[in-house]
Amino acid sequence: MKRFSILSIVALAAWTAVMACGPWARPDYYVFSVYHRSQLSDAALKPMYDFWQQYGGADNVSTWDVDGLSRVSPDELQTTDNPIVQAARTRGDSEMMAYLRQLTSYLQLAEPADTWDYPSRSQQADRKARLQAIEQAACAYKGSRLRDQYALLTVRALTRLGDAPGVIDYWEKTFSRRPQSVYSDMARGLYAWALISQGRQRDAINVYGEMGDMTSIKWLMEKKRNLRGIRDEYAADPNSPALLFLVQDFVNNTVDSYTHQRAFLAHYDDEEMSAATAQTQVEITDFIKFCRQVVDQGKTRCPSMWMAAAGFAAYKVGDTAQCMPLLNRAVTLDGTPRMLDNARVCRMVASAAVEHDLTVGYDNRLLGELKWLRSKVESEPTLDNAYGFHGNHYMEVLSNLVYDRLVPFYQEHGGASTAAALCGAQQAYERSYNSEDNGYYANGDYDYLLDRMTSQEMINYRAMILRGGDGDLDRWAIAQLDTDNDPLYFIDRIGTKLMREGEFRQALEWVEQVPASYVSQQGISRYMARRDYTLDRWFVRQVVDRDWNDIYEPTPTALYSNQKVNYCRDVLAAQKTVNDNPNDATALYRLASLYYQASWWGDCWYLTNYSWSGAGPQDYPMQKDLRMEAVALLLRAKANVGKDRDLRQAILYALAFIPYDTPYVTYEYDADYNLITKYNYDSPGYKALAELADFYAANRGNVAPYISRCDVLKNFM
Amino acid sequence: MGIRVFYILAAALTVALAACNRGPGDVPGAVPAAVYYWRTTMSLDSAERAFLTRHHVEKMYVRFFDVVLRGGHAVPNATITGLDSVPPGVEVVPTVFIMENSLRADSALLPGLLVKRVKQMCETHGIAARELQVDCDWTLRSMPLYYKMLEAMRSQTGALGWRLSATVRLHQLSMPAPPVDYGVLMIYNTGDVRRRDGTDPILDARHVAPYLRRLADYPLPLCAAYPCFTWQLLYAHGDGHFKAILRDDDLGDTTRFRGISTLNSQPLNLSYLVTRNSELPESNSDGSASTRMMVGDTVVVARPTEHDILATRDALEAHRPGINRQVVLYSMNSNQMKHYNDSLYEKIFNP
Repeated sequence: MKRFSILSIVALAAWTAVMACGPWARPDYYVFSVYHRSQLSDAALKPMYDFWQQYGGADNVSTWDVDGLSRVSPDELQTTDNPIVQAARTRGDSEMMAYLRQLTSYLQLAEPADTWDYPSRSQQADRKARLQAIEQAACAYKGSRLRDQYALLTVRALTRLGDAPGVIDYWEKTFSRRPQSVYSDMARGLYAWALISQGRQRDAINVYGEMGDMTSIKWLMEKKRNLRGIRDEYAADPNSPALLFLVQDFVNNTVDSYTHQRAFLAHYDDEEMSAATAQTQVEITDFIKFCRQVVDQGKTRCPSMWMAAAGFAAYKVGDTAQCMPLLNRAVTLDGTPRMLDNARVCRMVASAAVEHDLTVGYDNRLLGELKWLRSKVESEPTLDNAYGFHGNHYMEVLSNLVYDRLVPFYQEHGGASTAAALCGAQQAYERSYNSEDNGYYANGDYDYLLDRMTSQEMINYRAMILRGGDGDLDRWAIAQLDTDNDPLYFIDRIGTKLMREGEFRQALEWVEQVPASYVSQQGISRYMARRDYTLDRWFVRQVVDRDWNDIYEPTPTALYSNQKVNYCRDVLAAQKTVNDNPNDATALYRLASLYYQASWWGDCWYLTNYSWSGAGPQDYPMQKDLRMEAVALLLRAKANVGKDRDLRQAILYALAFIPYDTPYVTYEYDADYNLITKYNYDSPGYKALAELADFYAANRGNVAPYISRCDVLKNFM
Repeated sequence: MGIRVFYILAAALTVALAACNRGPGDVPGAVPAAVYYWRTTMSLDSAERAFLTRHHVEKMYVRFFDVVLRGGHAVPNATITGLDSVPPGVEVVPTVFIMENSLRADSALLPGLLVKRVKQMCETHGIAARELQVDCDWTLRSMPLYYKMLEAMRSQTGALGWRLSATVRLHQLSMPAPPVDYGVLMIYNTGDVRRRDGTDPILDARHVAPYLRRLADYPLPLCAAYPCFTWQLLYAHGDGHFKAILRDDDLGDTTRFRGISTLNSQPLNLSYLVTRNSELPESNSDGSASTRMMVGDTVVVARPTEHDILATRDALEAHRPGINRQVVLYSMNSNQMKHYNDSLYEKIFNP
């Protein structure tokens, strides 16, 4: 019996496409967004890299080569293999070579490094003189092609010289009058630094605001990330660019914090956290009041942002009465286009949770909003910095909205089919959107949802698809489904669900429609072709050689018949025999064996599942526990077996073989790490083994080999 | 005759008493008020400049750089910048922190390299130094290497006409004294941040008490350095294990923290609950790369009480009279120093 004493923990991945364990792990993305997330990144450097790549050839110049200019000495310009310098050299571009000489000279003059040789006073003076020379040479440039580059070099040299007034003067009188470019943006950033060093922080904030540099604003606002900070900043300047950062930060993070706190309190009874959560709630309430005051005062140029902040914060703390009026107003107020989009997104998310009527009006309104949100997904820039991907804010909102708000909403309000269609449409949309440029959004929710449906829900859903939906929203969603629109997909699934639910007569009607060729394309075909459900699992373990590649891709096998059909027929026949002869132990045993094979514990688990995992059976709704059905039948068989010794020992062995939810034995260690064996005398497993042991003792020398050789029984005895 | 005997006995007694009181001598060049400056940029704000003036601070022990082990070699790290803006009228004592593990590398070369670099930094920035101080958390195991290095440095600083001093931690009082001209006894970091036993890990008089008996006989001139800084200590929810010291996290950031009035196990009332999960750049206590700050974690603000600082100062004075003739504050930082009243500084500097 060793063959059942060890439970395999290796997953038998029959069909990896449905291995998703769900519910899908997806963050609760931030909703409030009044500036593009790339503004909190190093996006500004990208045009500089683009310039050098354009100059030296995109195939030749990498960001490493651009950064590598700092490792090139001016004396090496004629010999270095840096592709940028090589390009200038090869073309005989003397103007560019002259610029590169100044640039590499500058890059060599970094701050003294952490080496044992500290520069002397004269070396410091020499460095200063060289920086001054670079600054003068840059100022002296009279050409036009590289004017911006030289102007930036001037600002950089002045910055490194610590000449903040010089930087400010040069920017304000000279560089700021040139057309905007990546070089002027970089210089402007240094100008802002110079302003800060001269105590002109307010001016610096405005500069960063105009540049859209939220990273620097975040740094400046480090100590203001609370309502008091927002009030102070507003008092200093009602239209401070820093308020975009602070308000968005508050709405997303403080409100997020409130959610985290409540989640914590759901698990722990913690007085201090309760007090902290109350504080957070008060601050959010005060924030909402403050936002409304700001709009009423009329000093802000972006009332839409403030009103949306108030409305969305109200929504997040559960103030459903207040949130919708505020958000409805927010979409009508002034603000940047992104702020107005933000107000609309916030209203959409809140309304999905607040509006409880499944009316045609709501569906149509929702459909319009979903279409609009998709248009925002498509117009949102994604790959826009030097190094990588930032995600798509609107896709994230859409994912959360559909999967986490609308699908549960429709499911709870009798719209399971609409929920499924919306889920499928979103998954299809994400799959079509995913790419190297756009990033990859997790999907599998639709597969999971379909897998979790009961047979009746899927029958209803299929019917809705066949009639094309019940409204515009359904029709729009159904039109986009890309997952197995093959009619056999639903037929096969419905039949299998019915088998799982123990409705074999109904199941047969469905699985009979599924040809072997269809099942052959499924991962389970590998097992179906090699296993026989008529064998008793407790006597035979049917091993199918596996390849580790099975984990990664299905290995379909050509089938000549759909085993589910035969199985249903055999079960129905066995059920009839049992019904006709309720005390026929052989018939009871036979049906028990069939049931057990189709359970998760049987070799023919593929009859009721599309995958198998060592983690245990899935808890499907309406699922019949075929294992315990088998046990019940075996107990009846035992009671009626009479004098048939062979059948009795087979029944006793089967009952001892079957694993039960309560283990018959547990192991513990005492303080000295001695193993202590504890039997659960009341467990069905213990009772079954004890009965088998008694049988063995009473019939010693005259029992079947599968009993006399059973190591588990020997250990037990 | 009787009077002669009396005078002879009195004279003998005086000599004997003098001998009993004869300690290792005074701290050379001592001033009543000094501070440590432990930042990477020399830049004093107006409050710090006012502090120097108001409390007649005459000496600053300025951390010039650290010595760390990198690629198997002892190398300078985090060199201070802005040394040109040292406030006038304040003596600067270049101070170098040496990571204990770097003592094992380049130990023969290190003294020369270190003294040469400090001398060069002083010359470059016009600092008229008269002393070099070394800070190292040495142990009995690393002591031989460290003391050998100090001896070599002392001969080199002596040639320059400079003194050599070293910091001394409380646990180092039980070891032989380092071969320097004097020591600065660090009266901070006395506890264990991992233990939340109601004591302050920066300074708690109860932690100092066991070491006091070693003070009287410690064979090195000593002055004392007292703390005026704060730690923000992050402890996990549940088992309360120590996770990290937060660097400059703003505890007023209500997107992440909420102040709580009391924590049962803490005498301090400065505690904060973490209200949002986030990743911290700080190293974990076990040296792994990052720390997850989780909802329900607690940040305890450790800050020595005025009572503990003054009681410790008085206890030190009682066990080693004169140790407070020069008092050093650790460290000059207006953001930290503002948490104490001026009167405390007056009491510390002018007992």
